[in-house]
Amino acid sequence: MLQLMIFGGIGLLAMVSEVLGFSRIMSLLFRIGTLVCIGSLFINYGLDYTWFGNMMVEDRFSQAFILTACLMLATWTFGFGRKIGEDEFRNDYIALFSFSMVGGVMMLSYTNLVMLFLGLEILSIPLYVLVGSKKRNLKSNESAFKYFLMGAFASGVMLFGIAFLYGATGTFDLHQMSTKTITVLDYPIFFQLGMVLLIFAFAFKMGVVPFHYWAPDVYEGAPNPMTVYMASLVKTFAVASAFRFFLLVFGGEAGIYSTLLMGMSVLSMLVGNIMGAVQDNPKRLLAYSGIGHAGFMLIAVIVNGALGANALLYYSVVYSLSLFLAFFVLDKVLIHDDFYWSIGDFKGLSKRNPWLALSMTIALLSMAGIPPLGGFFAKLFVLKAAFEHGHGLLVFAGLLGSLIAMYYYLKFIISMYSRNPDSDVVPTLPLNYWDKMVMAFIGLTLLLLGLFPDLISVLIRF
Amino acid sequence: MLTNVLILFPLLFAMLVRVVPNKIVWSVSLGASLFQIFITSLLVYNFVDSADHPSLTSKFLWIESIGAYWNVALDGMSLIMVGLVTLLLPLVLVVRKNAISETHNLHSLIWWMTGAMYGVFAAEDGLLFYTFWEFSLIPIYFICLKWGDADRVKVTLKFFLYTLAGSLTMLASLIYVYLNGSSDWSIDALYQAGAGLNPIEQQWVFIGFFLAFAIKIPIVPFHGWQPDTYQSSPLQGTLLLSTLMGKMGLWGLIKWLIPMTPLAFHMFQNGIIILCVISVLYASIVALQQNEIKRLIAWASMAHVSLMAASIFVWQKEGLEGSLLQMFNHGVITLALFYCASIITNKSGLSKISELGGLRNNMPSFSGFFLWILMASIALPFTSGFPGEFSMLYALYQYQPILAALAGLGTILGAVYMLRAYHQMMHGDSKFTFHDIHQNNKALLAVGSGLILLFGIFPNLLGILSDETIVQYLSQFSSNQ
Repeated sequence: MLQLMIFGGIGLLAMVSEVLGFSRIMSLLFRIGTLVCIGSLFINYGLDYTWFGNMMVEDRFSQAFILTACLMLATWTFGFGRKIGEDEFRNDYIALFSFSMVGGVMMLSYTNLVMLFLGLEILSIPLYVLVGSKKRNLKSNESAFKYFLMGAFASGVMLFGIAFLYGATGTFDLHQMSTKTITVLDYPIFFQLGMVLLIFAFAFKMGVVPFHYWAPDVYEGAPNPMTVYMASLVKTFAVASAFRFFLLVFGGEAGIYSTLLMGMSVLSMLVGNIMGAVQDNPKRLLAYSGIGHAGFMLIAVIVNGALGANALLYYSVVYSLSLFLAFFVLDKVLIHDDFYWSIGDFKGLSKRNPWLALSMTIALLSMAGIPPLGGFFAKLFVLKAAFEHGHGLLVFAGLLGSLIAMYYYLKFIISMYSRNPDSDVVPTLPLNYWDKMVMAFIGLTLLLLGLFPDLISVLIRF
Repeated sequence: MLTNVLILFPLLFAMLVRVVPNKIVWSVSLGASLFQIFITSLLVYNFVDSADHPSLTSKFLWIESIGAYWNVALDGMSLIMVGLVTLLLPLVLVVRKNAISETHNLHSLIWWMTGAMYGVFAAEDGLLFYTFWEFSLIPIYFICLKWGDADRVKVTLKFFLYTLAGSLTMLASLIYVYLNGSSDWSIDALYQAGAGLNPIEQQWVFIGFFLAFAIKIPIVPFHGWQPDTYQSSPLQGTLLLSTLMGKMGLWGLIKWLIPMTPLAFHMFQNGIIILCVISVLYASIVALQQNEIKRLIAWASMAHVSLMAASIFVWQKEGLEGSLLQMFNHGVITLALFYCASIITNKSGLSKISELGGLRNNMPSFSGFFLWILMASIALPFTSGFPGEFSMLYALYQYQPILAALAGLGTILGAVYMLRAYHQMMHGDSKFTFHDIHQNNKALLAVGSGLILLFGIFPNLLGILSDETIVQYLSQFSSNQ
């Protein structure tokens, strides 16, 4: 709740800051606000609160996810804040990011479907603007327009699904819905229809197959800081809110609905990675790889319970950090602004700047799940959870997906380490101390999480 | 405790060596490898003193939530492998010391890989084993990618994907066994859990592990990556791959696969021994037709490691002893062979056997060393290749005489292709004008030849380490069933 107020307050302040003349300290306020959120969560950790007449509940699950989301936001600000700070509209961005965080916090702690819908909309609407924030750029406009159309449609589908669920159970509250699903429903077909529509809407936000078509286009067109924000934090919000729905309504695996999720998960891991293997544009490639990773996270949603929550939390943190690092390097390397990016831009990066090449390698190997980086335990926890619930197919698809993913991650590494740079590019890419600090911080954190994975899993013991 | 130093020092040094100035990196790194020799000797001394000396083991809680431990221990068998790594490390470091760019990067990767391999041989915890197993793949990949020849990109990609595919199936098997046990990754718990599975489950677990190890060893038909990779890697990469990395796969068979899935082992035993013998013959026949020196040695090496795998699968005392002995000696011999090959290619600029000839006239002392090493490779008595080969064939004979005869055919074919290659390259009229090899090279070859002679005459030097452990190990296996 405190987080909701802080982010909401910062968003409102940022909107009026230009008029009232304190625009200079706004980014500082944003950072302080994030840190206050983190601090308050540490202090209140483990205590349950309810708000808005039981429509939002702060429990261990939401606290753990909000805490890590705030930590990720802080890391993201650390890495990309300076780039945004150079923009003349920086305070508008701060407002939009703050509002989208408000939506995220709501999606992580809802117990009522109305709150879920509100959270989703508050999260999404700022994103539509942020994606199109390079307003003179055709691709940015295109991606914003696509994202808006598809997103609005998904919101509609979700609302439709919620309406059906209400019709079948007579309530928006998840706990009451949970007791209703055990007893015989009058109109089970409404419930089933509502569930399917809701799952589709979640799937759209997560970007899993077959609702993934927007992801590569939007990721490609959006400015890098927004892309990485969407690919890491927003994806986490979407997956975690789906997780919370299944946790509260079904308390574990959800029968036929889990089978539906399983199909999507397998398809995501295979289609996402196979499509990734034929991409040449690094941003599109990472988008497809993100689809594969969303499939992995979906395994945690299917397994559910404490086991799944732990796996999901760890996976989302490690994936977000790896993505930050990868996009940080991407942002430094793809400096020509014409959208004709290719893996060829990474040719000979180890000669142009060994720091960037090393960071990219760490990020990619972590995403591929090579020990001792964090990504290995992320995959291990998910696969272990899947095996424990007897989902051999998911494990098989996950391993196959990882293998295919390794293929295209290696394309980067080969390009960076064993080719010579083109003659027409800048021979060296300068980095200042701040950049190096960001990369060292994220890289070492990934290593630390890989050596001591318990650092995160203590957060979520139910 | 000392075991931790053995494993962690190379990993630490891998980071330190990057900041050492390029001029002295070679000597610093060699000095550090002497430190490793010192540590290893101390461990061997402690082991001979008492088999459960406290310096040989170390156990800490690592990941509480899933019950993984930093659990390393050395016994008679793993000490042989650790000794091999320690012994070959300085030899790998010194080869062609002036002919390589960015020496400190290369040395850093070699040290990294060494540390990971110590970990593989010492790990007593499933998760730790897998971590080190994968951890050793990264440096060798970068060594081949950065310093390899023109084909390196395609070849290393194939190599990495092959081995990663194996690793992933192993990971699935490992997790499956772990989940059927007592939430404990330690090797004893995994043995128990594995033995408790029903035959069908054990079969799947077995296949998962076997793929990983068979690709690493490699056994036909999982060998697709090997000849190309050996050929296009830089010399250091080839040496690491052929002498040490393949041994990791064989080690996995002994330590992880067979004791963990006893029922499946009995089901597959016959088939896999036959597969290994086929692999020996196949590799030998292909080696007969090779015209490239490096490829010839690669295929010959494949024939040898396949024989080791076959004799491990016989799973009795002589077979295990022989294969451990041979794992050690094959490492030394193959290193020396590849080193000779690289001398020939560098001196003459040619790598085709048919284009060479009369080298003996140019390099008389080199040809002497080469012949001796070649003899070891074809297992002549009094060379170190002989005792291991003899015990392995003996074990295989006890299992099934026909298979032993077929595998013995591989040794005969080995004599054919090796001696023919020697004849073509060394005899005849000289076509070249260069002179004999440098003192440094002579010294290195003398060390290799000396080791071959030493372990040829006193094979028991290794036997006293491993014999008791093997007997204990086998009796534990049969009591577990």
